Amino acid sequence: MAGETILKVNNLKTSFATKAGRVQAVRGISFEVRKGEVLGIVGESGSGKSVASLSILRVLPDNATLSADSIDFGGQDLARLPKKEFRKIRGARISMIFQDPMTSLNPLMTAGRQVEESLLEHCPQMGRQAARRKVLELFGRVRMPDAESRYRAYPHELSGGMRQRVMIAMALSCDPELLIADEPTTALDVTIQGQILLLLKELRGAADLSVIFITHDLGVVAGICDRVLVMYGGLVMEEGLTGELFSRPAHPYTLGLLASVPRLDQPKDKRLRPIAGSPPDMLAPPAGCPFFPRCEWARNVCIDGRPECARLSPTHKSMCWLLQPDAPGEGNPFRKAGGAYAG
Amino acid sequence: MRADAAARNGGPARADAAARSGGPMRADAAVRDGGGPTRDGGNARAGDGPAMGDGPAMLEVRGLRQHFPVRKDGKKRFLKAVDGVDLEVRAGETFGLVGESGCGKSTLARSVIRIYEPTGGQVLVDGEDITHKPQKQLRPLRKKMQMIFQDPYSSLNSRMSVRDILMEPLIASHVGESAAQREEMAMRALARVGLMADAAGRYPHEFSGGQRQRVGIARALITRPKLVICDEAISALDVSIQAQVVNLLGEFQRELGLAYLFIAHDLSMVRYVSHRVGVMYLGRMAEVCGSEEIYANPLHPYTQALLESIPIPDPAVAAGARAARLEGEVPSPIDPPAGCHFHPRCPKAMSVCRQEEPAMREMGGDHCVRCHLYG
Ligand SMILES: Nc1ncnc2c1ncn2[C@@H]1O[C@H](COP(=O)(O)OP(=O)(O)OP(=O)(O)O)[C@@H](O)[C@H]1O
Ligand SMILES: Nc1ncnc2c1ncn2[C@@H]1O[C@H](COP(=O)(O)OP(=O)(O)OP(=O)(O)O)[C@@H](O)[C@H]1O
Ligand code: SF4
Ligand SMILES: [Mg+2]
Ligand SMILES: [Mg+2]
Repeated sequence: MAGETILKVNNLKTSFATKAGRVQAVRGISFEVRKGEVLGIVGESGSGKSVASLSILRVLPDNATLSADSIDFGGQDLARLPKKEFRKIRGARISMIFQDPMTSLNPLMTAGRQVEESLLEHCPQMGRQAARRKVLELFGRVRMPDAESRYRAYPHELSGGMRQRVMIAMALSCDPELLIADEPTTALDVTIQGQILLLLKELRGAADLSVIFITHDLGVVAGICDRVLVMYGGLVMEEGLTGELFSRPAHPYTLGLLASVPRLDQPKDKRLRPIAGSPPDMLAPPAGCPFFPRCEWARNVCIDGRPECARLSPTHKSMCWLLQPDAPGEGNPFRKAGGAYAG
Repeated sequence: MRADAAARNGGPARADAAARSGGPMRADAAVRDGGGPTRDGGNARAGDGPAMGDGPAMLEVRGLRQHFPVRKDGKKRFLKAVDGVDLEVRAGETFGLVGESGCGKSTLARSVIRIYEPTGGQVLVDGEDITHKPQKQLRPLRKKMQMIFQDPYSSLNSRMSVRDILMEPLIASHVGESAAQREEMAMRALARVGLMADAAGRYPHEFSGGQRQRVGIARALITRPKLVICDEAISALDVSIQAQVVNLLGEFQRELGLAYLFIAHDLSMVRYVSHRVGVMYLGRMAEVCGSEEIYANPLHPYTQALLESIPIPDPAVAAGARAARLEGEVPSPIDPPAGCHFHPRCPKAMSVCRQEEPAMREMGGDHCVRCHLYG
């Protein structure tokens, strides 16, 4: 946990110009990742998780505008790094597993060849034979069945989970320092998912790999993440150690998230409780707390102003007015009898 | 205009209205205003639907085979993606299908809706044998059966706006009397999957993964089909939207007597939505039974391994290193192991398992298992 910081994002904002107006996908987020740490990002669909990670790697579409006070990676500011310099980092020191495997795989090239090409691009001294061996070894590590014949399969001949494993193999091929994994296991069954998580844990231990792990599976979060960011409406709503987040969730959105999951240890005759209402319109996001239209505890202050950051522990932060010392005690879900939640 | 449409369509756009009027959103208002005839909602679960089990079979799959020609070691071989699967889904029923990645679930789905022509066995939809029907004759059937894909990106036409994507199936199957009416249906479908009215004018690449998947769901349900195949339809959604969509699928089921073949990896969600569950392993069905039964009394060693690997959303439990339980190489569907396909990885394998292939056995109470332990 105590490792040095390898990535520090300061006030990142990303928006898109569209016909309907400017979509403010990420509206000023800051966080850091330490060496050998797995940082989870969870949050509402459309809250900006993918856009935030694409922004770090500057792989955004042309209609995007990015600004940041800084994105510090080992002393270099990624927000200002010239394009040419960036090529030495992207895919080499920082690699990414994209959310849509089909869009990032070339349908006309065999799976093995694609991983091989990307490997050779970053390590040209390696040579074809060695690269091929390494690809097969990687396929084995990500539990690709029949690695030899999958090497020669085209993406459409692979199952959803196999495509995802090709992406994982590609992302790990250059032994990155930081891996950004956007929903890397959604297409995998639980047994293979377990093995991939184990592989990432191994790499974290042996190679000090740091991971940003975007997922909506709270079971996966509990199993692999050291710390978690909870995003909503383009902002970070809560941040804390995984244990803190599950045992003392400190944001109404996080409460809603935890309540929406069906659990095997609960009776199933219950209707699932989704968070009522819909996410904010990112063309005109609310000025105050983005969650207020759906929050059952919202007050006037929530409508007018962005919540200030409340620190519940050195590692646990929440952006909710209910956590401020002057918040009303009555009906406050975060106020225990006889005192503030924090302390 | 947007606000108007939203008000007419009710549902999720209400949050917007609430935002403008400045009041906190009442928790259940949005659900009640969802526009469905089933006021109290409901979901795709046993007990809720029409009397389960005696509805007509909407989908019957008999001995289905889908073998792909491939080359291995320079020789022409067959990859047996689906190798003799039987299943039945009745009107108003949700059949959950789970199994290891690559075991043939998506292929089964594709053969059923005839993206592929099966290489063996039979597929009957609403009593009609469609196994070898030419594509032209399948067209009228397309309205009856819809599929929601695993990969929303490749299944939505990137050059069409969401409005056109939703109106296309209506035009193709002659639903709605006028363009205006079809547009209204499209807007309503959008609202029901929790998207804002302004999504109609946008293009697939302008959405997040989960939003895109909801467009695919809206499109599949808009023609009011009878059989819907959901291939990882909700895996890309965050849990709260998953819950919304699952409740929505349930409402549609009760309203239309829909049959779902629900393919997913999330076993707690599968248990939640399904009446019956089938567990596949390497192209075959290993176990089929009621959805409570499979969790309370899993019989097949593969099912047991699967259940043990479910990640628990609780770090205290997760920390107890519930590591991967299933060891061994994932076998090849080109050269499947002899005897029971599962024997090389099975902790309970006996010598008979290495030689003889187990048959599917009835264990009573609609519980079937393919394993020598029960022979
Ligand atoms: N190219 C684009 N043009 C316009 N808007 C976009 C574009 N890409 C993303 N957006 C919008 O930016 C917002 C954030 O999207 P993002 O993909 O980061 O969501 P996400 O948190 O990853 O969601 P999910 O869990 O569904 O993947 C969404 O409202 C989305 O519609
Ligand atoms: N067009 C094809 N040609 C050759 N092989 C194929 C083709 N389509 C699928 N396969 C193979 O068939 C097997 C089953 O794939 P399928 O996509 O059905 O798996 P799945 O159960 O859906 O897996 P996942 O959970 O990963 O999506 C895999 O071994 C796959 O490589
Ligand atoms: S038949 Fe034998 S090998 Fe197969 S699952 Fe049963 S015990 Fe295991
Ligand atoms: Mg995303
Ligand atoms: Mg699949």
